[in-house]
Amino acid sequence: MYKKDITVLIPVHRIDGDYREMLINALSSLESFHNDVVVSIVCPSSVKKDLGQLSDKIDINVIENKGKTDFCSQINVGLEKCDTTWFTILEMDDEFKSIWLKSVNEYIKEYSDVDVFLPIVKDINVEGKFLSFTNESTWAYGFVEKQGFLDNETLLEYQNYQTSGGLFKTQVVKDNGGLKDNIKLTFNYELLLRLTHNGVKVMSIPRIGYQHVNFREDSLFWLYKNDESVKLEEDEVKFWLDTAKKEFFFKNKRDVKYAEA
Amino acid sequence: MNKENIEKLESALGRLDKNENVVYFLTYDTKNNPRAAVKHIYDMALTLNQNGYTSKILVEDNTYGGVSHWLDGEYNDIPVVSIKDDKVEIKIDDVLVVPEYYSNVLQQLSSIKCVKIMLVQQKDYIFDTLPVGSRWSDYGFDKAITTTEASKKYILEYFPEAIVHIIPPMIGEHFKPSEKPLKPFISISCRDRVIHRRIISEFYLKYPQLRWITFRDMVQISYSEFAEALNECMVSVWVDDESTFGTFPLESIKCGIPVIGKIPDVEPDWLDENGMWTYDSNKIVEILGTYVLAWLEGVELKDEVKQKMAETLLPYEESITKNNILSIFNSFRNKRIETIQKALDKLKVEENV
Repeated sequence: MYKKDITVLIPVHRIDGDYREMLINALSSLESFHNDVVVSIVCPSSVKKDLGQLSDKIDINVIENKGKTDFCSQINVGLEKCDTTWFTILEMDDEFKSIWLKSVNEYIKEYSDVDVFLPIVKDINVEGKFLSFTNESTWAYGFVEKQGFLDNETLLEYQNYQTSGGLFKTQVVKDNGGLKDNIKLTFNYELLLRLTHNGVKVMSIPRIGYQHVNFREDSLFWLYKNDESVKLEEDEVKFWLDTAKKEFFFKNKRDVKYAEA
Repeated sequence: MNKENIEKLESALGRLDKNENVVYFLTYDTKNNPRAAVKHIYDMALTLNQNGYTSKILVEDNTYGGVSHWLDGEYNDIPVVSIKDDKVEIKIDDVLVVPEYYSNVLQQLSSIKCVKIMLVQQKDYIFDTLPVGSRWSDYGFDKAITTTEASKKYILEYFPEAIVHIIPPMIGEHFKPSEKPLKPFISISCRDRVIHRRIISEFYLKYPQLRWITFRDMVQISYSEFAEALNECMVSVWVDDESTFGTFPLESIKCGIPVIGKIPDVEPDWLDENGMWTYDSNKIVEILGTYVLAWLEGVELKDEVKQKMAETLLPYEESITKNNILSIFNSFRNKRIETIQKALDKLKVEENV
């Protein structure tokens, strides 16, 4: 029997208001290749009800998360249950582009030694207007050591890479400790630093495989920028960048003491 | 006197019979820099040598830079002889092929009694150095080889007495579709360096989000590097108003890479819906940007375009061109044998009388 080899992890922490519609939209971007991937929503018990029936076309596997519901913790719970060779992350207000599966399959076949494939991410605003590309810079001439491949040295200088929509070898991420939920803001960056530091091969696929809505009201990064209760000032941003640069040497999360930084 | 001439003709026939006559290709020195026109000459010489002929590259002197930096080994095995230093003696059974570029030496070659052929790859150069009002036949050049139908038509308009053959450049086996995923590179070939710079600058200014896309300059690189670069890029750009054949777009098409190009002053024979063509060079950047963005989104060439690309290449298959070269040079040889035989018979009759 044909074995699905990719799991799409969708972390969901709430389903009220616009969130339900956003999730339905995100799921609809999987319709063209749902037969080839396992779709898993990771969510707290409180929102579990009906999530499996959100799409009549896609079989949805709901993973109940009884722990913390921040992005990193949700992904780690999903990762633990993941038994496919590869996994990817779909944020609930984002979408995969139709070329995504075709291009990752093409690259897996050609670059069998690569453990992480990052698609080019098209960043748009809430009105759908194009803002920028992410993950594209590895293809710029002279930017990285080997065109197309993200290396640790480049990452130390340049932080703007996006992991959602990226295809990760499940075991490689598990072996390297998953995401660190005690790192705010720069947890994606720290993960990539850690992976590349440990010899994991990361490559960008030069195709727009994923669309990301930037600064949607209430999104984590929007809150970091605008919500007074969690707002991060410039110095704090720098702190989290520096923290990522210190912590990537360690597979497991360590206690990060904000006040002592 | 007749006896001496009879001996000369008999030995010429003997050499032709044993394929010992030489085909000389007068070639200009590119100082070991790649040039499609020179490769075409070497391709003809190589094809002939691989099929029992003896052909040589004829150069002005021993300072000739050769082609070793950009053409593979077998091309470098073709003997090179120099007019000044090797004191080449061209015999009546030999063949001399002279590019239009060397029209200024036709007068000096007029006394040589071999088979003389003009090679026209760039029709614009024909009259550059040809004495005003003179024609090739004034110097014994009654045959010509050119690369396209349009060029042949042009030649026959001004040299109606010439017998014109068409040998298009070979689109070598180096060029084949890549089995690997394509890379976000643009191969660019512009004869005019100002236009080359302008296209790249305009592209990056008009599409700043695509500044990470690399342009590969396809000029001055070795043939194998050239083929490799063309093989892995996502699209190629070609602007060459003076081109009379257009090897670069065909090489690109053979790699399965779509071409965005300005239609040259003389439309190539093969021009069709096999690329993204425009008469307006100002539109190149916009077409390129639109194509690159579509490619990034995963848009692929339509089957009809792929079909047109494949059909375009059919007449330029390497085997067809090689057979064409052999057939044309065989006809020169047979005609020469016939002419010498006739002259010989005539002399023998006179001798017997």
